Amino acid sequence: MVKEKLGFADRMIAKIGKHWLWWRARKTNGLILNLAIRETLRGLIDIYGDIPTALEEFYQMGVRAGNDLMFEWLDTVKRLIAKNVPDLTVVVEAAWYSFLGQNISEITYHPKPEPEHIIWTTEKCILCGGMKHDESLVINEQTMGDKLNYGDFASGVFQAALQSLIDYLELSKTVYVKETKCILRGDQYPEFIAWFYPKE
Amino acid sequence: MEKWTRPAQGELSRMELIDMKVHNTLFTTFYVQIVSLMKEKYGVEGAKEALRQIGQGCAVSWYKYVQPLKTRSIKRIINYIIDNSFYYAVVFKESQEGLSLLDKNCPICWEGVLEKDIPYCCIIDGFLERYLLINQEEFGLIPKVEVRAIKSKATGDRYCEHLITRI
Repeated sequence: MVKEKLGFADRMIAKIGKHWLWWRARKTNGLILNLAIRETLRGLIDIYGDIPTALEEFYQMGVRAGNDLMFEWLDTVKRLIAKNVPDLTVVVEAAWYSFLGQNISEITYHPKPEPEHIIWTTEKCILCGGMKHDESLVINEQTMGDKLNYGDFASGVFQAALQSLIDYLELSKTVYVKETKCILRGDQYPEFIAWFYPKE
Repeated sequence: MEKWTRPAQGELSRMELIDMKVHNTLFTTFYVQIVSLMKEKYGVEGAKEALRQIGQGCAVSWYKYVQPLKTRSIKRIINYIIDNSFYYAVVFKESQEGLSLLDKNCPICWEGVLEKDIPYCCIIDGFLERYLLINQEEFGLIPKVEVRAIKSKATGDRYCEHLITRI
């Protein structure tokens, strides 16, 4: 049965568990991932003709990848979920660490302004590392357009993953995730927001 | 002249990225989507080429940031690349056709993925082929080669095999 709220023990398990998950994970070099993302985006630009449309498709790919990821991961995180939206901060923190080996710098839950939302920032951005000086693919405020950021495919992953959890918890909400600050737009840190809209 | 701007506090350079590791699943879950999209847009043969191109693009930048090996041994170079990028080693088999790289731990062909039409890990071919070509152009100690996946775990084989042949 799903808990109403996470307790102290659950939070401790999350704190320790994320290190264990990271330790046993099969790893890839950070630069390889960074370059593979750049090259994938380049491939999408070849197909769709411009960066904003390629970013949109990349985001949709993120959503589909997030569904696949949760299919694999749901059993692992079942212990860490409760029918309490603020407790999803624990899941986001644990997931971030398990996949990137990095702690989130700050994660906060905000009931207001509605819809309730979770904001998180990270200390370093693996995704856009080196991209500011990459002349082979110029990604900046002008080329990205005003809709999506370079890291928004990660938003797609988180959106699908959180939606799977919300559906599993039978909470009547729709999740929307967006990277709201991006280094390639001139911000100091990346920032993501997950909004939880009540379902009509 | 390029205008100097203060780096963002959260900005990483590619040199810093070399020392960082990430979960392998991050790319493999995306790769399924990439393969599917490329097949839809370009067909089977076109998709193979597009995936190889992704690998080639990675190799060009990777070569700039990871000190290349000056050696006559292709085996050493490949194991150096695999060790630095995916943290394991591969074995080789020599045959009349050429040198085969045998990979039981392919970082791309994850458990559960099934792809009948194309050698799923052909992105690795593009990566190795371009890296070896740049190394050949810089030092001239190894021959020019072509790399092609002839077996892939994702298509049901027990291991992935990449055939390296002289061109």
